[in-house]
Amino acid sequence: MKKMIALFAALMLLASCAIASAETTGTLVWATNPEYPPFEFIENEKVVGYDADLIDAIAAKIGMEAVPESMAFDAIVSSVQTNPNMIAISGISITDERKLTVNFTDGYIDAGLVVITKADAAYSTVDDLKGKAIGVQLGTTSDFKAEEITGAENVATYSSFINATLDLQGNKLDAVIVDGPVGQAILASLNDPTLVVANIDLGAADWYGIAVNKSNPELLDKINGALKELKEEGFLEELAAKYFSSSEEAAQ
Amino acid sequence: MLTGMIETAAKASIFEQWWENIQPAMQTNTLNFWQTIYKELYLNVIKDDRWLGYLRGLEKTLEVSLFAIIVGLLLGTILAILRLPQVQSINGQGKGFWKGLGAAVVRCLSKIAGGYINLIRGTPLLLQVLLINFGVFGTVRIDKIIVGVIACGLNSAAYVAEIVRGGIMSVERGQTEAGRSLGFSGFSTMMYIILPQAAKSALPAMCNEFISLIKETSVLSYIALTELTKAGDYIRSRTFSAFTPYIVSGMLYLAVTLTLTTLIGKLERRLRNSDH
Amino acid sequence: MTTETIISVKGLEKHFNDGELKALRGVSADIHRGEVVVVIGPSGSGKSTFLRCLNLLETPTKGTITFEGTDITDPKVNINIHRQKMGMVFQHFNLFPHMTVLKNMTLAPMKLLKKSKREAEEKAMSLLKRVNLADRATAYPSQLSGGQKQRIAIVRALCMEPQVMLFDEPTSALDPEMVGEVLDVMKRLAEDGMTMVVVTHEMGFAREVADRVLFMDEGQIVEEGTPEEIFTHPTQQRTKDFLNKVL
Repeated sequence: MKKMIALFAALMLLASCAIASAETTGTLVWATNPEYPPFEFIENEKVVGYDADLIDAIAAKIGMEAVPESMAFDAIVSSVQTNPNMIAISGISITDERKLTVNFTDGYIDAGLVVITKADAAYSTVDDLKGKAIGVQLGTTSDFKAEEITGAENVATYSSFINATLDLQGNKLDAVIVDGPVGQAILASLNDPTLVVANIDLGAADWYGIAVNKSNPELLDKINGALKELKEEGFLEELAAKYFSSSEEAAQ
Repeated sequence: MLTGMIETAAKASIFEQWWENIQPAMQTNTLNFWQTIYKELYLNVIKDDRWLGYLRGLEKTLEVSLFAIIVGLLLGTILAILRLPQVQSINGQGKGFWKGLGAAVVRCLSKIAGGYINLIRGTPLLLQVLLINFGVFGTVRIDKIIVGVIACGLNSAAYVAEIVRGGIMSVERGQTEAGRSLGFSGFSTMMYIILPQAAKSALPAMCNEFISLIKETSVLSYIALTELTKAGDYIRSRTFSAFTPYIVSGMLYLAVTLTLTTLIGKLERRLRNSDH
Repeated sequence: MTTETIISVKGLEKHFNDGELKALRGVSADIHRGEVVVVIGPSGSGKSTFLRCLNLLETPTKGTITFEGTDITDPKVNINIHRQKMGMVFQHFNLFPHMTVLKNMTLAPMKLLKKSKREAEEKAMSLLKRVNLADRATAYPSQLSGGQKQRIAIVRALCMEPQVMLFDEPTSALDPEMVGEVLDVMKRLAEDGMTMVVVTHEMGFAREVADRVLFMDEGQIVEEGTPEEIFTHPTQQRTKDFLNKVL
């Protein structure tokens, strides 16, 4: 699948100009990795979740129809980079490195990172995690943070963080780092008393934004405008209440 | 030696200088064809010694492949022998209790071997890898390389078994009779006379199997083993290049498989010269 | 000629396909030490099956085969030990194509008789000299002519120093001009006193070398006697019919 996307992206790169002018403006294709509850996940063969609701609301405001396109998380940013009309909303943290390749809208939620460990591990500081085997989803801010803490050689990167959590359950890892709301959601659904969110503050604000192709500033402005209106209307609080067990997670 | 040379080159910063040279064009998004290629090359291979990442991935791929091939060959040969018609229909009747029991056990093992081969060949390697990692070794802290060797080795064994069986059956019956008539046991005849000839006729198909196996170890990226494909994925997640890391990984796979093809081709020619 | 019996066959039967095909229907015969017994008969008469039963390449359905006093049809007997003493030569040579001539000849003595490499090679070389093939020691079977292959196959069996040699149509797969060289080797072997059982279509060889001739038809021994008796004064009609066809 990833390879097909890469191939597709390659073709897009070569023929991007031609396609850019030919594309219709009625649909808003959004790249996403729907293995990230509660932000995006599959239910009844449809992509649903916080992000899906948000982009549907945004699309309604700017008079387009939002159509999701599922892919691996590490393929998302490059897909947006090579396709002028594709945007991405998939719990993507705004980072300086990513800003080099795509534009980001204003942030819509501060997720923050959490550490999931075995209940009996009793790690209390970041230093306790040094040299430990940490599982993450490849290319996420958790991945970068884990590398900073324990060194690249101790980070196990997965295409879905659910597999990382399973390997933590199976004693193959010491910890998993993941975005806060997602970590809470997976613990709630696993209902495994041997796993806990460790009381460790990784000290990183982690704003999610919507990625837009650099050559399409008009679209970026439209989405930012719609996002601003939705914030003012209190739509984001509604979403937080709908998807998170505690609404402190939602910043605005 | 090579490592040293490349490192020296990097430090000599010719690469850095070229990188600086294309910065203005990058800012204005006006890179020409060659500059685009250099930008991709710099970001995905040179910067932060990323080429080392591919080599480490390659090392793991080779490590897993080599041991999986060994596991596959040993287990596959045993399965092949169990699947031979003369073993399947082995008959210990009237030869005393223990020989009769032995024959029954062998017949049973032969059936199991057949089922095993069908099961492995009938299901995707990826499922087998995930099952072994999350199922068989579900709660065991074990090196992913070992999981990979076991999963790929068990998988390869099924294919090797069919190749070896074909090789054995291509050896004339007279060879077995000649061996047995000299006084060799069935086992010794197999080891000294049949298998060496079977190996020769099975070599081309075996070469194919080894090449497939090396490429198929890429599914181990699903269990977070940073082999060559995952190494490309990893660099891609850092550089957001659409496909350049895959081209680099692909060229390394190609280098390995072409080398293997050449070596086995040479071996084949040598065996052909020595007889027939 | 001594009268010590080396192989004694009693009531031998061999059925194929669950008894549909009865290749041997009660064959009894004694082979004496130093004797050359030639088995002749039309194709399908069971003569090859009879020979292949002697070293249990075919498992007899009924009957016993006693070799040097041991009933080798007893499943408790380790047949591999006894086969070492019964050399066999096949119609299609069955040399090991992946080994040199020398390796073909030394493999079994080294692995089974635990001879040293030097000892085995010395023995092999002296046998090769006797069949004028010493210069082909390092050749592979594919580099030899049919006649050379069969001579190698004979000395390969001799390397195990067998008590008896079984020949299964050793010249049938050869070009006519090569038959002579193989028969010469067999003749010399007979002169040296080797016990031999030979299944062949070479009536000249049978007449000249055999001590005794067995004529088989339809899975039974129809008539046996000296070459003189069989070829000049056959008593059975079937023997006469056969000889009329082949002579």
